[in-house]
Amino acid sequence: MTHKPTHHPQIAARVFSDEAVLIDPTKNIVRMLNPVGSRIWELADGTRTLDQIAVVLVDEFHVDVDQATASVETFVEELVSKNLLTWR
Amino acid sequence: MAERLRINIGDIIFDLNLPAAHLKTLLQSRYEPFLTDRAAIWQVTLTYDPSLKIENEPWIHHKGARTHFEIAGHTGWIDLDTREAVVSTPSDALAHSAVERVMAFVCMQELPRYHNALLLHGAGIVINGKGYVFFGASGRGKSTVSRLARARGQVLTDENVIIRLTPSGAELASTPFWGFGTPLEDICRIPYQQVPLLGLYSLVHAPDFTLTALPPAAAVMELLTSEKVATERAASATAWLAMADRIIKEVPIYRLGFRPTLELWEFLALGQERMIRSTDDS
Repeated sequence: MTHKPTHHPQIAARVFSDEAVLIDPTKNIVRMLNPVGSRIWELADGTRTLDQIAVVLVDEFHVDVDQATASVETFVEELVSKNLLTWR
Repeated sequence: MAERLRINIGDIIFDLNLPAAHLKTLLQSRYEPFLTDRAAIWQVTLTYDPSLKIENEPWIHHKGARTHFEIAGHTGWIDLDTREAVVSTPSDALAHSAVERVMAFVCMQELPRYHNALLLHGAGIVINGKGYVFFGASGRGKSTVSRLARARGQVLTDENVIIRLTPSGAELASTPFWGFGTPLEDICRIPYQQVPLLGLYSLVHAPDFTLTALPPAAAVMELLTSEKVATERAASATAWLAMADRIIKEVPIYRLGFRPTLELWEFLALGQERMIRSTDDS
């Protein structure tokens, strides 16, 4: 897959230490991500494919590539479905 | 002839344009500690609209820099680009509430962007020269803590406090937005009070006193439980998060389980000292 996830322009977010806080003003929803989710959020900046994000997670969190790829796909799809991420 | 009143809240100067002289007298008395001669940044016009009803369904929408709203018997618009606002009230009794809705909204939007500050839904208290901010949604105990503080120190506000970062640290400010839980004569309304801010405390009623230091993201989530207005626009929410990040790097945030007794102050003094010691030890 060559699509690159990126932050939805309507979302405000900031990473505090290693946990991200996301605010969706259109739905008045606030969400906090765990450290792995926060790292995926940081990496999903429109410059990387899912595979490229997974490679970074393999390196940083010492997980195998299949597990990382599956986690990234599931997590990104979930955030896209909630309009927190979008495809570039 | 229009009547005018100029108010300073956290260095944002509002020029209130009022429809009647008696309203000026009324509001002048209410906002006395906040009156100023400084040049106004914001123009706020108050008008009468007797057809407005408190029970009308509230709504708010944003189009560009302009926000239109009808909430609790007030309707109007606020333009963040031109720094103008118009708000209507059905009666004299609700006039202060109308202008305060506008001024609080503006403070939420502008303090983080231009004034190194945040407006928080919290009680600001000074005891023995040290500042405390207690926050939480309605019912979490801000008025109770304000009542407990009366005999021990100054209550700057029981409802909305401004925290501003300066080169010498965080300082507290009163606002003219206070709750119904504390008699006005018990609130020491001082536009700015330079005291070291010991901490921000998220209040929880509990059978005993507990103090838990919150990690940064959890602390921000606690603050956001009572700061909905700040998050209505993506740009505003981004500015709010950036300012919150700076504040939590300067001031610790705790969850405070408390029961409504004066032991609270001893517990806070001791509990905080223990926490500082354990941080030093680690």
